[in-house]
Amino acid sequence: MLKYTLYRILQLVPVWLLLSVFVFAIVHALPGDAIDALVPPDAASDPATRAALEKDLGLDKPIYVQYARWLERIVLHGDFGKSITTRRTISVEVFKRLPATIYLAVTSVIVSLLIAIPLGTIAAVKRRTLVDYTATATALTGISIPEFWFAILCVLFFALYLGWLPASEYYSPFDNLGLSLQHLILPATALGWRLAAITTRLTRSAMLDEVRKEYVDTARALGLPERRVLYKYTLRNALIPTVTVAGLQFARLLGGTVVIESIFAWPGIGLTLYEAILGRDYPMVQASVLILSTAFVLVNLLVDLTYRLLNPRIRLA
Amino acid sequence: MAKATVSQTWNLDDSVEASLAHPHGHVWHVLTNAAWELWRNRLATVGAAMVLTLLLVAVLAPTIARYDPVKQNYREMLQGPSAAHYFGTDKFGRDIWSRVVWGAQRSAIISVLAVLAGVIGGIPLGTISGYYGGKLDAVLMRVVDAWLAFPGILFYLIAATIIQAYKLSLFWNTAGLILALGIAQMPSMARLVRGSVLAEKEREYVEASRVVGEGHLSIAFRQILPNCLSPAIIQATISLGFVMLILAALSFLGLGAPPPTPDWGADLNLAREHMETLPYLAIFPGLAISFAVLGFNLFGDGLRDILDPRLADR
Repeated sequence: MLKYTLYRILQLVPVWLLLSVFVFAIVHALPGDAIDALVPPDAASDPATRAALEKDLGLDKPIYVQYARWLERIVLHGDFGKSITTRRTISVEVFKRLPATIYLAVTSVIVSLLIAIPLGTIAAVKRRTLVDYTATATALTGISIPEFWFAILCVLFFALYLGWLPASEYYSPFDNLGLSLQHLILPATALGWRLAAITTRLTRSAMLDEVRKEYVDTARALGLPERRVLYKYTLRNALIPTVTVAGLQFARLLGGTVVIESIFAWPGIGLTLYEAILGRDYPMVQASVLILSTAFVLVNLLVDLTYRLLNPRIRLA
Repeated sequence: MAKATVSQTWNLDDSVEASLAHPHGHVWHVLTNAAWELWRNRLATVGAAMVLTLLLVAVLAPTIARYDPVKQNYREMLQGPSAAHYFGTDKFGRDIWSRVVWGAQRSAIISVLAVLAGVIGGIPLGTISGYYGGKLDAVLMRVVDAWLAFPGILFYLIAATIIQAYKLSLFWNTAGLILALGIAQMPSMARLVRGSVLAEKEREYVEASRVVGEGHLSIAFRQILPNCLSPAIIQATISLGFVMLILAALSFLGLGAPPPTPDWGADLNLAREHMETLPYLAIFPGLAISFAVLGFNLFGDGLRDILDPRLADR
């Protein structure tokens, strides 16, 4: 296991370097350059000022030197530079926004598992009955309905029509837990419901796979009650893929809550990225994309390692 | 002549012999069989009908749209559904039915071309990687790994940002989106095809082709690849729905087509301003997206049952 862990970590290095090249290239793929963004157009058109600035910013160096310097600053000093619009240090800004996103992502995954595990299990146990068809149909619509439309419909119904829940805004759970949870329900449901659509199908098929295995026959032959066979032994094994996918979904949510965060004015990292895109704050875009994708890769690795720990059968030989 | 000898000496089973002898007769049999199975699978039939409806609407958009989708009419702003405007009008007095219909055409064109780009790029990559194996495979698969390690939505956001920054005309903007969405489909397609090719290249008929003296490229693309296409077809069908969702999300965020292009996602975003007074504005574009995506998902699921019976009932 230790050997495998080291192997996977080493494998991440080239993957991460490719990621960083890609993120670095973004800014160079954009029209105009850093100088146009920094100084007014009349100053930028003056060749002397331009040359001085280029030298100052290191832009006169070949592109691979620029990349190496950029990478060095990030890796060794955690320095992502400053935001163009707010003039604040990017790393501080991004890490300040991260907790709100993690808070939302964790709750959404919990909501999804609370829906998916019972629904998927019942669908598998009562296979080819009305319950199964309903669960399957629900899962299919969950995959097909865009989450932002679902979110809008939720706001329309629960916030505007019934007036039960607030439509947007964020409160930290440490300041006011009750208010914070009230504001959390709608975004977490909108995200969790879609995730549940995927994990419900997965739980169902994993259960169906598992009940065909020999140990289930053995347990039944030993006269164990069906309830215990299904829920104690089978479900436990069937949950391994479900929980793994839930972990991967969490990783994806860290970078993928942009739409929901913008609908609910949730001050997470997705909203930060979106605002940076709209405000053409490219260093900010670069930094948040690199941080988000790094988090994504790391959480993926953790999920993979946990999966192997839980399921010794597939440990690499 | 040579082929007949091969199948006799190697004692291959009938289907291989049949496909060696009549490479095209086989296809017709597969198609008729598929049609029958499709009919049997009612959900898939519903999905096929939905996809067909969508395509019909897309093709017939110029005739069934009753108004110009971008023409503003300030005398008929923010109306509810009526006989004149089936789905009502938006804040510029534009007919929503016409916008939804033209949006279908835009969605269909973009997602079909994007998935096609993914298929055209991904399938050769996967076939070559799987067939040649070794160092080439290792390098290609590391690139695919890095590609897949990058969260999709971030890639789409960045691509859309770059496309927007250039302030391109509608045509080039759309072409850029298609390219970005297509590139993002390539790695998973390559990975999928590679897996099937790896399994398939150990089969006897591959050895047989080699003995006959067929070239590597010809074996890889003409003998192995046709037997690996089922998973790719299923994946492509489901991707069509997925690409539509992504496209809608990007336009919803204002990163898709420049206004006033009729676009489901953009129209949903516009509807948010009037949620309290005119909620129906948010209903129809959303329904259209869900209808299209559900159609592709149902159809894709049905195809999986037909083309890959081992996975049926999952």
